[in-house]
Amino acid sequence: MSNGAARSNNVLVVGGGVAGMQAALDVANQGYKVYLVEKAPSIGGRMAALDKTFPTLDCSACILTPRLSEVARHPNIELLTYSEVQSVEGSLGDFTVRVLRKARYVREDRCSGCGDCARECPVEVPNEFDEFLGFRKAIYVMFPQSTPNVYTIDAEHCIRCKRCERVCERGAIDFDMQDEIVELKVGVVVLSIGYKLFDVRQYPRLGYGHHRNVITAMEFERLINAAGPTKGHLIRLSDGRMPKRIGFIQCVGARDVKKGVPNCSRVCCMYGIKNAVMAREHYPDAEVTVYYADIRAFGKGFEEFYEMAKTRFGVKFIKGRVGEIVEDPETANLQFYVEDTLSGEILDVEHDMIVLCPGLQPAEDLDKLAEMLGLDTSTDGYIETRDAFAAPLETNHPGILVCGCADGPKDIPDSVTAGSAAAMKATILLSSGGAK
Amino acid sequence: MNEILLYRGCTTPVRLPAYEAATIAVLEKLGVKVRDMKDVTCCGAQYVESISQIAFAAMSGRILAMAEKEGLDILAICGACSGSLKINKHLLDHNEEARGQVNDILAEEGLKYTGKVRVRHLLQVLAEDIGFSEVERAIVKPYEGIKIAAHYGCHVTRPFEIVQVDDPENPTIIDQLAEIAGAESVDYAGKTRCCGGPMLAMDEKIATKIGQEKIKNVEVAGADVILTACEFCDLQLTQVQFDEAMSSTRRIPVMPITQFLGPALGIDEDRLGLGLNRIDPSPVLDALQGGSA
Repeated sequence: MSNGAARSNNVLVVGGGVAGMQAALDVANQGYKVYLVEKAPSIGGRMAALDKTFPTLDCSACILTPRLSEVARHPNIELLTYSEVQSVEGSLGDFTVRVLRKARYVREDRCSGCGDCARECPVEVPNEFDEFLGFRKAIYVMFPQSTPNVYTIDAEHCIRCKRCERVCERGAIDFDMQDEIVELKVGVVVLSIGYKLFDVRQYPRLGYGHHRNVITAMEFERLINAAGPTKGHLIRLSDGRMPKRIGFIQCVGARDVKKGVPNCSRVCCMYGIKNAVMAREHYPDAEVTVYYADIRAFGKGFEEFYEMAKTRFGVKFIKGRVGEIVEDPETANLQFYVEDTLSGEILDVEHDMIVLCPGLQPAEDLDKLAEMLGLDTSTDGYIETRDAFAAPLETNHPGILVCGCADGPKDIPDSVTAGSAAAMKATILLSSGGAK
Repeated sequence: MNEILLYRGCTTPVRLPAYEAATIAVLEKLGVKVRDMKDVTCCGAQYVESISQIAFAAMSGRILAMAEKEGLDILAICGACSGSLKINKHLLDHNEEARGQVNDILAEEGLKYTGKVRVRHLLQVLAEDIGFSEVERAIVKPYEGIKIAAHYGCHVTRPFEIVQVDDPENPTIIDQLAEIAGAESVDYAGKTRCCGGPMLAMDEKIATKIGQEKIKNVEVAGADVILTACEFCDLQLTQVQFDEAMSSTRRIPVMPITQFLGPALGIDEDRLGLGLNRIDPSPVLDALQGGSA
């Protein structure tokens, strides 16, 4: 189709989280064609699984869902979900990208998302979207507003009973579907590959995976979410009871040199406070305590929100790193010592539920992606940008840009800002060099 | 590995000779010849350590230099000895100035530290040098229906960067060895916590409270015996059970890992010093298939 000299005016956005969606929309709205590649069956990223946002306590899904539709319906955006970038070759204005389109065994052009298939499917699988707390079927959508609203068969768990095929009125199920490689020509690549959360099991003393009522912040998000596995009922995993004394532990896998994570990951203080406030919202009688190292409430409205958590919502804050968490074998309550470093007092406390607030880390396999693209990474593992002041979104490879958490931890507003900025940078590159 | 130098330390020969006897018997059974070290002194742990770093390094350095003369690795069975020797080896290997100062002191005796030999804690010898599969092969009379609680000892596994024994936050060597011998290892609260022993000199009350808390947690987990890899821990976890404040009348036997493995390896009871244990270990021995050793 194209010879080597042809320049492309298209943009590839890798990662369909809130940053990538913003970048895609802002490029598309300037009249350029965008390919948005997303690994999961649906776009939306991490934000889709969150219950509320800070510091405004807005419903996360309510903000995100209209954007999902906007991306899906935009004439200039081509969505490639359940897909992974395999290789990128070439240079600014002339990249050749190979994308693996994994077989979802459901035809996107026929599926209407009615869900008849999932009702019929006999296989139940722990749901990764709910942090494995709830169940989904082997044919599933990630969440009710999944975009595209198309079902996917999880080939690993499907037993090929074909009951879904029999009930699907639109003939959308296709068990003969194969993985496919598509080749795209683009002028600019935007990486919005997100992040992963620190594996809290690396702190055996905190007991995650061992004590049933020690959970992670993402599990908490799903437990308080009305669309979550408990329909929004915040319960203890050991016995289903309502927790009356809830503790939040900050900086789990952040600012800890010994665990190889010396950096602060910017968002944990605020999401921790937000979740503490939500715990009080769910159970106004509950005692809610946040154990922190420092509260870093640096963003717009953050300090006010922190103040409000203390005064209006009655969240207790204790400055101190907690010791070993012990589970009472009878009650499954959690006990530990912690030094209140502001008073110097050693406290012996008991909680019904502990929520660990992990730090952010570079996305899974970011190192492999960086190697494939020839990109530099910084000592903390994120993608290195060319210049923090003059070129904060540009990598060492001309024409490859970053936004969201690809180059470092960011909260939602900062990710969106970076997405918009990357879009602008991308179209500047295309209009000044790409299409000429 | 077929030969190793046993560094007995100060406390073991005096207060827990059964540990050293059982260790020698078990290692020999597993094909490791244990040789004695002559004219060695204290490793310098805690007491000298708190006064002078160089004196401390020289005390451990002397022991290491003597082993170099023999050309054999050192086996340490005490947590403090193993810790001191390893920490000082690390210092002498990485700090030229300290090595020079220590070698000046050692020169008086015609000794020199060069860093040739390794320090191995008993658990390393069992798990890495001999290996679990080799131990498993040698088991002739496994235990049946007995639950053990493993206590590792702070200085045995920490700091990991230097001592390199097991995972300090989730250690498993003793548990694995016991399971190989047919026992069931139970998890208990505060498994990696201190026995309280080192606090005895400063605050006996707190030291005892720490030890007793450990015993209570072990009891709650339903263990029949506590297995140790350091004589300080062994002694402390034993003596706190004789304290008046201990309400429970049932005492849980405390045994060094080698003393526990011995009978399962078919070693004669007399060679393991089982009669010297302050808390009668016969309920443990009764769990051996085919009765007591």
